[in-house]
Amino acid sequence: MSAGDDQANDRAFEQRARDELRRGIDQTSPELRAQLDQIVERALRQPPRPRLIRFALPAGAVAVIAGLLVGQPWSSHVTPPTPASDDFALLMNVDNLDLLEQMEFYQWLDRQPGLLDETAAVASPQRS
Amino acid sequence: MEANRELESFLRGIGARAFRIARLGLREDQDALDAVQEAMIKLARRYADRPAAEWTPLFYAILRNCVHDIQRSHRSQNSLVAWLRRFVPPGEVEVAELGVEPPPDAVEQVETRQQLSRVERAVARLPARQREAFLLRNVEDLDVSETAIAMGCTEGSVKTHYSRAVRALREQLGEL
Repeated sequence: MSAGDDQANDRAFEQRARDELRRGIDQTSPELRAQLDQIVERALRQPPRPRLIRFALPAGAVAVIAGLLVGQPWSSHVTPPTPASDDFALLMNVDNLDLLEQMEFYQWLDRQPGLLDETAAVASPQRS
Repeated sequence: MEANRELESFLRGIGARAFRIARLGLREDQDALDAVQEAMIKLARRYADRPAAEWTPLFYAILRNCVHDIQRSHRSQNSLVAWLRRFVPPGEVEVAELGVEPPPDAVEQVETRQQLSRVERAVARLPARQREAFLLRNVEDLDVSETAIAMGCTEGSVKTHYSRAVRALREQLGEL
């Protein structure tokens, strides 16, 4: 079968399916049509959404976002740095991080009983 | 006043087709009516002042969202029911699960409309996007660009979904 034949078959099939679907719509029961009419009347009775709300909501959302973005640099000047943020800034500095590691090492060394004495004993004969 | 009459005529004209399309997605008359009502109210409240030529794709875009909302709420309800059923002792039959014989005239009605039901059933079995493309093009006669607006996708995507729908339906239904 050629591509042209296949397309023609598709068109014929679509037409038959369309006819069947539309026949079903034409056969919509009077009860259902009455319900749909009531729905239309209900929809038409709805007051239109006020223009103010229609435009104010998106505009308000944009204003809030813009305010947050613009206010960000000001707030960083105004807010005093918290101790946690100080620690974080200290840790971000590589030199200070080295210092912190050294401090920790000396603290550990200090907690080892007699280790400093032994080190001193081993070191002193060399000196003598 | 004139605009209101135009909107009324539009809504009355589209009602039965919209119901049918919603019904194929939701499978329950009442759910389909709820979706159509929601979509009509939203269109009347928000878009009545738009040019009438824009109403059809706008209406179907709204209806599509309403159908999805109802499907989503059913899915959550079903998960809750499934969870609650874990606490029902096995062997206990719920009343709602008992089969009820359909009245003879209803069976006859279904049989006389069997050809239609076959097409509708096949359309209802399609994946959602294919079903939407097929119904909007064939029931509502929307062109590709209007269908794209209603489905919230590109025209290329509409063509793809549509041709897949036709292929799947032909496979299911043969030559009708």
